[in-house]
Amino acid sequence: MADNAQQPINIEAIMDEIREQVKAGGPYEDVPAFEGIPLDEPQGPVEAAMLSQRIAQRAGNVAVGNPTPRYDGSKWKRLYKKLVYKAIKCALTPLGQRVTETNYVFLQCLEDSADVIARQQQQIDQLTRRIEALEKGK
Amino acid sequence: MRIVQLLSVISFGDAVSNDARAIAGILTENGFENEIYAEHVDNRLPRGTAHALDGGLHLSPEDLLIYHASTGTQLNFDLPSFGGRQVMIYHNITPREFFHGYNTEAEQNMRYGYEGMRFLADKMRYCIADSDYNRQQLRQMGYTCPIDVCPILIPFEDYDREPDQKVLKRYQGDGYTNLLFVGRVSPNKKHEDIIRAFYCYQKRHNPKSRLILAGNAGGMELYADRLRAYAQTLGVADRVIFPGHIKFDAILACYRLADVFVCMSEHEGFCVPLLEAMHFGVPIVAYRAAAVPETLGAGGLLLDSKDPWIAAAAIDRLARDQALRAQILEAQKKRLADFSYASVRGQLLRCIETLKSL
Repeated sequence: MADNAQQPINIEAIMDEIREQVKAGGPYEDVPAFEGIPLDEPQGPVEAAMLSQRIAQRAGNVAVGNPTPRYDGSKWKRLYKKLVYKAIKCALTPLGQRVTETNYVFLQCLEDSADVIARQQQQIDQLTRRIEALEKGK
Repeated sequence: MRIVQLLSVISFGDAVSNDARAIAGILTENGFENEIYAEHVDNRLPRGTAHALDGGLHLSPEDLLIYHASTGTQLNFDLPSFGGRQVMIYHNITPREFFHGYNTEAEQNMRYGYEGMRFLADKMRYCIADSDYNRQQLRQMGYTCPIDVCPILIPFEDYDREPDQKVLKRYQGDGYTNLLFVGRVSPNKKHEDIIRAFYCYQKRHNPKSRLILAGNAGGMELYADRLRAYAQTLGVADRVIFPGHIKFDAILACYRLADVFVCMSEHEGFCVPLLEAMHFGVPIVAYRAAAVPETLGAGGLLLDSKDPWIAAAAIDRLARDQALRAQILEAQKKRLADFSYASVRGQLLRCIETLKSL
């Protein structure tokens, strides 16, 4: 084994062997394709779960930060822009914080709504099954 | 001469951030005054690691600005106004098509990123690319400045820390063969092809096996759900494990448990997990795409197609053929040496000499 470990390894030859083995070992079943799995198809409880996920996807963007100003142009233009930005920053920062806090409140409301929808969907599914069972029993 | 590294986001544990921090260390060791600035600084980082970019940068003509490009950001367009001699380290931006249908924001962000890269094509004096693949991408985007290749600096000593014992106890010693992929759950990494190959492997070769797909699905929840549904359809959901966002010591445990590392990614600018697998002595089967063959070298079995039965057979060969396994691990060890701290540090210092002469 030590000798084998030191010889240069011919990856292509090994892969050729593997491909030949696979060819000789056929036929093989068709494996279901990933493309066959629907992306957005609503399926009862899955629909409610999709809602939670979509909310979670956007949750990362609720925080409002200070803008990054562009200080381009001549030396005096840049100085003027910098002074103006510093002057308004003291107003912008608390405003941004208030917007962020409001966004978090709305986010919580959305998440709570998604939970309510998910529970109601479960109740709907249970009731649907009961109705189907009752109708079968008629 | 002041050296400033600039990133959009510096966070705890991602490859680009680690690279910036390692470069800062090397610059300091070599007597260069240097700092890191970022639009967003992760507050878990040690104090003083980086400064928040607040109001732009104003560098003098002899200063050096090293910009880490990896995403869509206004910074790509603001950069020319920051002054100094500007160079870019290009870490690659994932093509937006991969995100279509899963995350509109990510799709738009990647488009914005490519627009930014094209905007900067005639504004950089010099670029460093993590891989030759990344270098070729820059050329295709119209970069004509000198571009050198220098791999990402990886803190291999971090991987020798204690792994999560709970994870080890849960999956070790039960006689199962563990297949592993580590990486963000993202459509370009083609987790579905790994699941498909696993289905064929457990069906044809070894039913006593499991697949661990370790990685954060943040922002790609639709994709992650579709993958779970796929595993369910194939009847292997009970043995395909999505740990989600796990701590570093749990990732270490996953590598220690792994018998074979499987990568079917179709877009990578470098692929750090391949080197991690090499470090942990896990043989690799990978699909030949983007920078994967370049990073892998002769250190693994390369697949030319996505035929899951061939992938399964390759995985089985590595899991069972001890002689081949030993040869592959030896080749991986040799390849890993090319990415050692000493080797990459040497390459980086040569790049810095080039930077000084700009």
